[in-house]
Amino acid sequence: MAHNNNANGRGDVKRQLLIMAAGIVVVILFFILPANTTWIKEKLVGYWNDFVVQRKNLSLEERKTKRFGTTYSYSKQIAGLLAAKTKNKQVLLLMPSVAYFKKMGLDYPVPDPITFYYFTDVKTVQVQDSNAIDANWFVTVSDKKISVDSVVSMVQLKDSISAFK
Amino acid sequence: MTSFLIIFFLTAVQMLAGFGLLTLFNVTIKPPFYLSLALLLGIAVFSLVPFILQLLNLPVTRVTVFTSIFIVTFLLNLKFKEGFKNLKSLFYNTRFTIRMYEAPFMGFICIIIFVSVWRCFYFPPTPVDVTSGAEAVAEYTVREHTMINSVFQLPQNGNSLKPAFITSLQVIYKMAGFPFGQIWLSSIFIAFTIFLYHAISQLLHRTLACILLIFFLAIPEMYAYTFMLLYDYSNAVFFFLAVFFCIRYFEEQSLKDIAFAGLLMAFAVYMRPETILLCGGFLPAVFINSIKHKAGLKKMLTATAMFLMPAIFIYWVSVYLYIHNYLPVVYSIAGQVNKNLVDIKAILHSFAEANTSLVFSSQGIVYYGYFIFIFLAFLVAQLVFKRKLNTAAKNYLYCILLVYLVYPLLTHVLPGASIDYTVKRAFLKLFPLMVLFIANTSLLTGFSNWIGKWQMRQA
Repeated sequence: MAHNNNANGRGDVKRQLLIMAAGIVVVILFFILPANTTWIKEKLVGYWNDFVVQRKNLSLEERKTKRFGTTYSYSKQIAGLLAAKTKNKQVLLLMPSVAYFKKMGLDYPVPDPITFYYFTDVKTVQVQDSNAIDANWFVTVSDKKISVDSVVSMVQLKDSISAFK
Repeated sequence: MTSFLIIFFLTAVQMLAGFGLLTLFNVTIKPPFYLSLALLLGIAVFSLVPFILQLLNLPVTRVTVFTSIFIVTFLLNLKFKEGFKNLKSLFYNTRFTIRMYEAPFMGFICIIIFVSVWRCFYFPPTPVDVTSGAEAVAEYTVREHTMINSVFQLPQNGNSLKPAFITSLQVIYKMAGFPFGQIWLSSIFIAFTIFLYHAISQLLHRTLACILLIFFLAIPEMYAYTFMLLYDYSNAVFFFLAVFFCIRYFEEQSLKDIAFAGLLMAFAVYMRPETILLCGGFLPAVFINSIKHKAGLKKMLTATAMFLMPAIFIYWVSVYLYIHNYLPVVYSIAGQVNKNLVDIKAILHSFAEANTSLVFSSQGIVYYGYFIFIFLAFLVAQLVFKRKLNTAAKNYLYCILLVYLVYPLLTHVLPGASIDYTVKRAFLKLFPLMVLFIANTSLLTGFSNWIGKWQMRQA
């Protein structure tokens, strides 16, 4: 390794200032390049501006909602609806597909069962999963309103699985 | 305020654990590297603690985790007196100074770091790879006191079937009072930035070191993963450290350096198991350098074993033992291997695709900025104007080529690994190596020396 022992001394102050100025010019030129300008605007300046607002909003829920967006807020809404209807911990909730929600007018990127469980503590199953038939609750949408109901018969569950695809 | 105190305390214990490990390995490094390296090692040691508790089928609770951390830190510091004596003599007469010409760059670097640290602290872990994997497992480990918890009762997508590096650290930080965990990633980022800066400034004038570091920090994808929780940034850091100490072994032929490099490589493998391929690929460099230094067969084999064995051991424990025998879901790597391995056309296609989508494309610039082109410019200029590379530069170039070739090939071997995700993130390993390659080119060291002499000359 070519160790550079002499390069980092103090030396003449004027020359130090000149070196510093030259270095700053190089860095400025680097950030004039288009992709770097974008990075500094979006990431550094953008995130700094975010910080100014974020430091006043420290609630955990708010931070999660901001970060995960509608995936999180709809998931929490579904969990809330379920909690209002049952205290049963053995719920397995049948989740419609993204396409179903879209058809019903909701932009809900349905999370995978593990993520949904992480968000809400509720176990879900998706229509394409082999154990979809084990679900005991299901989600529906009408007039852009989400509701949850318990499965009352196998026929109803099979119909829901077909409709949710 | 409490959060700051907890972070301060955790960092102090991590440094102490890392210090113990440095003492045990008897690694002699210059003072500027010491603290950052101790912290990085401490974090790696911490990441093993909940994992080992799980392997022993012990409950993963606050009491067991923090007691184990203190026991491990104590055991690693059995030679504390000796180590502290060495540390004192090492730091004696060492002054950490910031030169006037460094100050504005340092200020800018601090802003870059601060923004990342804030985002890491403020937001929960976001990538779906962790919300449906390590983060979810960690969250329920805290509640259920076992890493084999109710998350595994749900349909799996493979993300939870990974070594316990992130899960373990998330468990510790959640138990310490950080609901989103992940602030340890900022510790890795800060410590590594300090380490890298000192590694560059050993070779170059500090102004050049600052500029190169800023170019490195501004690589969009690299920077994003300093606050987005995934395995790749940490893996890139430990892989780089392993290479750094391996190259030091090539230069100084001290076996303790390669033993230490082996330990660092083992940590990198623990973070991303496929890193073991790079570990194997690095062996020719070990052989060639041993032959070049006339090290003898015995020393060459000892060095090889020291470099390879820890990685193989941790791979066996974290993949074969843990994933295959502890986790309740069947996971077979063999089942994922491409049946048509020798399809040369497909191999070339993978390689071409990696280049066209990640390197030589507008998307590549979005991912990595201009850093690859800066590296290529230095490589070409060095070869054209100087017509040779020094040994360190050659070794770094070898590692760069290794990463560059192995990962596109991996997408052919394991079709589940994609160019857009797996390779894109695996290429993060290239950049610290490129930084050290650039810093080792005689073109830049010559220019640096010229600046240094000019600066010292009387006006």
